[in-house]
Amino acid sequence: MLKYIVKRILYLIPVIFVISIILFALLNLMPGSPEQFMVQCAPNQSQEQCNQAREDFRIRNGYDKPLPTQYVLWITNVIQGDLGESSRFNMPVADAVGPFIKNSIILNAWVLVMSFLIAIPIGILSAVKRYSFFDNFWQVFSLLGISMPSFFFGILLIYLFSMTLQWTPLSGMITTGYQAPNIFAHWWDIFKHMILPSTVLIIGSLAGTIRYVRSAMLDIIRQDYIRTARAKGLSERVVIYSHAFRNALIPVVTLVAFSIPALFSGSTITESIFQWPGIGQVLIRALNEQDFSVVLAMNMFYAMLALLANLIMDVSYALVDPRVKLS
Amino acid sequence: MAIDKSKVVIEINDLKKYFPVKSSSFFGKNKMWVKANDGVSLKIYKGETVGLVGESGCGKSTLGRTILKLLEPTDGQILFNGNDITHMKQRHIRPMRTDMQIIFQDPYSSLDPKMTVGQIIGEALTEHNIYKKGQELEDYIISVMNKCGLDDYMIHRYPHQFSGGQRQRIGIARSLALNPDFIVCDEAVSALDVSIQSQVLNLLMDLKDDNDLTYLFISHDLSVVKHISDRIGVMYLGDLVELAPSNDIYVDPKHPYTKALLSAIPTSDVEKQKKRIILPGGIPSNVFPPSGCKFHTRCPLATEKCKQEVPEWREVAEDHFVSCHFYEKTKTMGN
Repeated sequence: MLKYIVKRILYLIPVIFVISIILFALLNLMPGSPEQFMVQCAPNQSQEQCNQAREDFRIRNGYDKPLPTQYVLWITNVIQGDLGESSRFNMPVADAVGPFIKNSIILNAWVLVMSFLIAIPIGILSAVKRYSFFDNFWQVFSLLGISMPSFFFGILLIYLFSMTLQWTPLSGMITTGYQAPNIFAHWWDIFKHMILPSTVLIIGSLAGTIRYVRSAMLDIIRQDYIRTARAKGLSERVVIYSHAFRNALIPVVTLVAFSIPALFSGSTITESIFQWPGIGQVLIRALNEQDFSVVLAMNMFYAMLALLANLIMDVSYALVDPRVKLS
Repeated sequence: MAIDKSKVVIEINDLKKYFPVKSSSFFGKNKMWVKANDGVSLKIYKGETVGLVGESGCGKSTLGRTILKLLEPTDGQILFNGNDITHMKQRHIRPMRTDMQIIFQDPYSSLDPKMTVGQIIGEALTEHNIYKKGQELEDYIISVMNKCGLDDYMIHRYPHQFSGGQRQRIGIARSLALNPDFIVCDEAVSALDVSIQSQVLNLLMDLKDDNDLTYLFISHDLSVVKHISDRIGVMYLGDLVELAPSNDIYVDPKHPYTKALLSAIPTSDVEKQKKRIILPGGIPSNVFPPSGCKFHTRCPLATEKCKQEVPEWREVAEDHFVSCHFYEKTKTMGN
């Protein structure tokens, strides 16, 4: 198993290189250039002075060199752990995006855990009581959840719970000017801010997960070995949880592994509505302002996460399914 | 072990199992039923093997599963060792499952892929508090496995690591571990190739002698059923049409359907080529079964009477039951 994992990680290296080349090329194909945003011309400057300032910026940042040279420079720095400097934040990329990623992780980890905790039992029960009221209710509910745009649903929640009932804070992540007396109060404050955005995200993701678990369970419940389990005289609980669910878990593992990259990528729309200082908004602005270092670093990060999630998925498959052999 | 006619293990009276089929027309829903078993009566004595044959879809497997209450009967009565279990709740049946077991057809799908052989065989034993987890249980599991021709080291393997014949042995060991009185073998050898079939059949027969078992042996393979059964029942479209000791039924079939079925057994004897009786048409729908005798649509002997009157289930020779108006004429078929 360990040998397999090491082998797989070694295989990833060329893949990451290819991805880095493609990303770098694509980004440079984009119209516009960073100096147009970074070097603003003052009204009293002549066009020439302005152009000179921009040219200086290009030379300073190495944008005047041919693309392959730029790529080699960039990738050597990246390998050495230097992701470059954000032109917008004027500081190293890692320091610039770090706090935003952290905020996104806080929100998304909660959403991920909650949506699986809610969806898995509902999915199981829906499959066991197929076509019952319970099943139909969640089918309709989850369909509504996935069909409702998050900006609409978010604003609806804000109107109801923040403005009318005033139960939850309106937006943001912490109460402005509030000095938390201790760490618990601090997290409680964050939690209160998290309720509405996480509700929007959980309901949006519930639909898919419930249906996924339900259909996985339905597949298994029809299997012959479930009948065998009943013929053994096992209680219905043991049949459902120890035989059916353990087997239905196999496809569900895939879903969990695929959700890992989503933890770090944030959800731009929901974050914007609730003014959650997450990475989604930062990435959009970096793209608009051609903050090359940030965009490249983040995209590389996501690509590696996706590859890693794939590896985790394969390994966890082998862990939960004795029929799968890694070799 | 000899058949003990004083002890009835299974008695079913007029057992019916209907499955609902949804059909919604423009004018609303009217419930229709697939009549998988339409009034079957049968007694199985201690120590005997009753074979059940018939075309696919005639309700053999449904009957086997309904007898064990793996399916809820629609109507009729099931007595197991004299206890009426027809309407018993599943949780009251559960303790009785140690006495009545089933071996399923498909050895590939009927074993939980996430359990080792030891877990598969041992699970029911701990669940019914026969053994506690530990060395004693493991020893017992190994002894059952050995009885079924499986080696000790296989106990920690998963089902996918075995061949079809070995998997079927696991299925047999699993049902045998509970020390049952009665086992339904639901096409237990159909999925295996012929050489393995005979191995497994012989194993089943040996186990029967050693453990005082009673079998209901369901199969569509007439030669297999002949090999193992004391009595044979023939089913057609949810009904039992003939029931007789196995020799009698092969030598002197009374029902035209049985005769046609037997004529389909391939023989290797060139001298004694039998004439194949080809039945016209296909098997009718068991949602709308034919009136009268259900077989009249395909029966070469059918008359007007067969279309109207349901033939009576009667004993025409010793232990030889048949439901046909003109069973005497069956002999003339195929001549």
